[in-house]
Amino acid sequence: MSPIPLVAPPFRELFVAHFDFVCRTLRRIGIREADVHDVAQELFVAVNRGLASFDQTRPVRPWLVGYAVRFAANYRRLGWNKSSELTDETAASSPRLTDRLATRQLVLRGLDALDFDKRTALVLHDMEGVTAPEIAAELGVPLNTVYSRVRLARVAFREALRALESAAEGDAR
Amino acid sequence: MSMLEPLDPELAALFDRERSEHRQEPMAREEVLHRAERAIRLAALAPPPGDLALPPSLPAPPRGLLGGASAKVLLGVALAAAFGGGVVVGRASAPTPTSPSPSFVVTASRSESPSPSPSEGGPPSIEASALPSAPPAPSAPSASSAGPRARPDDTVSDLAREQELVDTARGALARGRAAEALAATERHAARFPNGALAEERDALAVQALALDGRIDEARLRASRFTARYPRSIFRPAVERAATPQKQIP
Repeated sequence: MSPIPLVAPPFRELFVAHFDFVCRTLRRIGIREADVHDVAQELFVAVNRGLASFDQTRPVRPWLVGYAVRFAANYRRLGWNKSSELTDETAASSPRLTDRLATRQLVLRGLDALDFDKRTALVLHDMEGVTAPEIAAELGVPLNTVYSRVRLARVAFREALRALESAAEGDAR
Repeated sequence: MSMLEPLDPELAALFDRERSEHRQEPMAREEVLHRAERAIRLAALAPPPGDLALPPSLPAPPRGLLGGASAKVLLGVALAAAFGGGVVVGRASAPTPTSPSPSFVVTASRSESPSPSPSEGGPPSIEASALPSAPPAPSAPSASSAGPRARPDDTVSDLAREQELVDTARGALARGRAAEALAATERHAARFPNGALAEERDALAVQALALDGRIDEARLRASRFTARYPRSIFRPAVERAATPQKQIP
């Protein structure tokens, strides 16, 4: 008797190919570093369930993005992101340390200044190259809403970076 | 206005640099895959929602707190506990958005599997409040469920026994007890030659043989392993184990 394939055949291939992408996206849209792998695990379990009905002609990443955004939204709604005020990143990223701040932490702090919708739009469109129509389709919002969110997010993100730099300069004096 | 202007080069460069700092460790990837696959196997063995009967000592899942998978998470924890704590389904604190069909499995007869989402295979979005409530007590199996097919309880028991043997092998390997690890894999192979955890068992067997200094046998088993599981996540570990380490002068 052959074993029952509990795990869909393409699951591992998909996991290996997109694990980094999923973790990166989850982190950027607000999952704490300490929780990223746990959330990614749950996400891929859900993805495995969805594989049977996934249209193989569709691009995978926008599809995964839909999962990531929903998981991140739940994460925020449930308040898990507030369970600890002092995260590994914030502990190491006092504004005065901007010069030594890793680019990643700088970007994450800038993203923290955005609301969830704008943050998601900026991450997916400008950082991951997901097209606006794909984002609109996966999130179920009008295309122009995506464009608007990306534009506003860029402005807010630049302002956040400037504020971080100003704070760092103030601390240095 | 509907189109976006291109991202300015300064931000584009910043994002490129940021991306390079997001690398995931291969070990972390392997660990998460391992946990995810176990969770999938356990979820596949869960009874359908209507059959979920939580122990009376457990409080009712808070509405809207854990998301739609609350009952499944609790069941998963119960199963994990039944497996002697050797199974990590996931942290209890991890958010679990949705799982409309705990019994959804991708099987050889995939056309029979229900769609997990309302449209196009997208992410599920059922709230906890939409889950059917647990019945007051488990009902007796109906006559239609009796027959030669394996009952869910049997399958759970088999997987639990498989898990126990594989955990024994892994634990022994971690402690450097090659013979003990190998014996556990052989017991597993005898009882569950094509079990759900056969792949992991075979990978552990190669590592145990290598640890025992039986390199030729390890190589042979590694060769069979890669032929049988060419895309296995355990393949790098198996190949490393079957490759003798260079002596450091």
